[in-house]
Amino acid sequence: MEIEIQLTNSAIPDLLAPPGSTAWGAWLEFRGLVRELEAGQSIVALDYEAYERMAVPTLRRILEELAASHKVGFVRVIHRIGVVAVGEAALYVGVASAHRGEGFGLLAAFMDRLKVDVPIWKTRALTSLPLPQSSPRAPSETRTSDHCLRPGPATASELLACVRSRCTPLESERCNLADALGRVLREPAIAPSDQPVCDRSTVDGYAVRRDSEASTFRVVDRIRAGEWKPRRLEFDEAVRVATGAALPADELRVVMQEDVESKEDRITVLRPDSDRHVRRRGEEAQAGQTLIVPGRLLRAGGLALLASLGMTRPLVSRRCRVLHLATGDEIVAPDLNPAPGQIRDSNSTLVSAFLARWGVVPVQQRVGESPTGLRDALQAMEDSYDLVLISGGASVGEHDFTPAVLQETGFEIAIRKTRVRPGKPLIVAQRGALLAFGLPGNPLAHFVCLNVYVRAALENWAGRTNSSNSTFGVLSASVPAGDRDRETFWPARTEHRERATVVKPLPWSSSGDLTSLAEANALIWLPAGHPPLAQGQPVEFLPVEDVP
Amino acid sequence: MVVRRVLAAGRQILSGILRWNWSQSTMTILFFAHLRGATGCAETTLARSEMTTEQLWDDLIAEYPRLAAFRRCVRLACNGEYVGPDARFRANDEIALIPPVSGG
Repeated sequence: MEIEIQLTNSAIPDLLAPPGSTAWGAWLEFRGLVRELEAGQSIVALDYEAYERMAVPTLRRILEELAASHKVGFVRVIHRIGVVAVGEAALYVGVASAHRGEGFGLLAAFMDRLKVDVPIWKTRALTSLPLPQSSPRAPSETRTSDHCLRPGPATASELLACVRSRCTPLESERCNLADALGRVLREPAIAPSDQPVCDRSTVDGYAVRRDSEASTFRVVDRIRAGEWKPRRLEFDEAVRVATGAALPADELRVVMQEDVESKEDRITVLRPDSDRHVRRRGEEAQAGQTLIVPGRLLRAGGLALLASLGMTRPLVSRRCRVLHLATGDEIVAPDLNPAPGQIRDSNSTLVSAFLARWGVVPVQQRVGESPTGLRDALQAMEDSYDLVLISGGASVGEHDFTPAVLQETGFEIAIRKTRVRPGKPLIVAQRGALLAFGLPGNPLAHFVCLNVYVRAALENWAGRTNSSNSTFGVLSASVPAGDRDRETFWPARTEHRERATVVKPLPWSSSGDLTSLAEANALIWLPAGHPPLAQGQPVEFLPVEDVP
Repeated sequence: MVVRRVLAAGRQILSGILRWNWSQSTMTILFFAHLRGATGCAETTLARSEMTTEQLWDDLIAEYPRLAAFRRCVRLACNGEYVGPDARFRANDEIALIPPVSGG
């Protein structure tokens, strides 16, 4: 694949010629334009900054990696740095391929990677254009708006990229094996010695020399599992061994007791035997061999392996610390009877159950529906949290105070609104390394936002920065056409059939609908403006049931 | 007399060599995006010939306390490539503090 990469201060030309080659059937061009903000500020330009020494090689490396799975012939990338006015392109990507599928695939994947890995930043949103002879950016200039502002409502991919880029792996710590379930291992698990450490019998029987051709043997000893009785064996000697017993010497074979006739202290081998009743030293692993690489999630099997290696205090990612604030005067605790107009708080249960799958126990508080309640809770919050989840109060309406309170308490708002349903009024904010999500009050929106975006943060913090769990299945029932402007996450139930995973979309009347949640173990990810989809159509979905 | 002059010349040469070695043992640290606001500068140097990431952060936070709040969301790069927390830096390395990116 030929690659051209350019960082430039000048405007990207309107017309850029595709490469001259008759091999290409598809030529795709993408321009990322600077948009004017909708609600809130109106901007006239964005200011871009780049670490040029690293940006260009990183762009190249990403394209080279993607070339392995997307057969594309030519890519040209131009990224502007400096001030870019609204309406102009900050980024241009041109892709030539034999067929359109590979081109579209590479383009989409490249954009996702660029937004996470490439050291380029929007550092300022300008409300007036600088004079032509303005001085270069000085760090003491006041910024007119927040860093990493995403003008306009975000798509799910943009949200995921924004969240992942703000979460780096947490520190590692040593913990007891019992506490390590569901955590990510941060050191290699290395076999301290050959596994098994010596030859062992796998059956109850008799150990004899491999090179002996005798068929009658004198039984000279007996070894049980756990005993260590090394000795030399003569050609006509045998040792009675139990399953798991350490053999007394090298180069022995074991004859099953069912295959011998035994009389006093002599045995006669009735059936010629193969070599297979012995686990040889080092057969499973050699001393120094890495058995689990760092970055693996520890499940029950992994813990058992660590136990067998004696790694009883493994180095793992520390668990993240979460504060959950449920706002709203209309919610009461589940064990109380709601008054007319009130409902029981189900979101707190949803949040704690979701986090429990990650081994995280949040601190949970209910705060009244007022800016004061939320502000007080945020100000009283200890410094040690990694994540604040705020349920309710996120809707953009006359009672919208969550973004304002977050800003007052020192948070920068990265996302104010999304183009995804459910979860349109989702807020993502950050203060230093502390991440905050303002989750829209309704339970289905909670379910989606937790399992899609909060999950991405938890994965990055756990050290699994490259994990993606989206997969494909086949619809078992039809789905009506989608909203023209918004992607949809549709709660569903998956089943595994012989040829494919079948995905059943669950009935869903509104974002307040809880009844489908009890059955849902997946979210179908549908793009904006999708047509009605028939039974049998393949769709992309995110499983939400898997134990992390 | 001759011996003294030879010794003096030798000492001068030696101290010249030592000064040259000392001036080689620095690392350049680059700040980007809002980290420039937090530190008030775009780059600095540390007089070190080798360093772990722990030591880097300790030195930087001692000099620029406002950096502490950003530590966990910043990735480190050395000579243009991302490195992990167990990286070791050497003299003449260019280390960049990369906060969450927002290109495109």
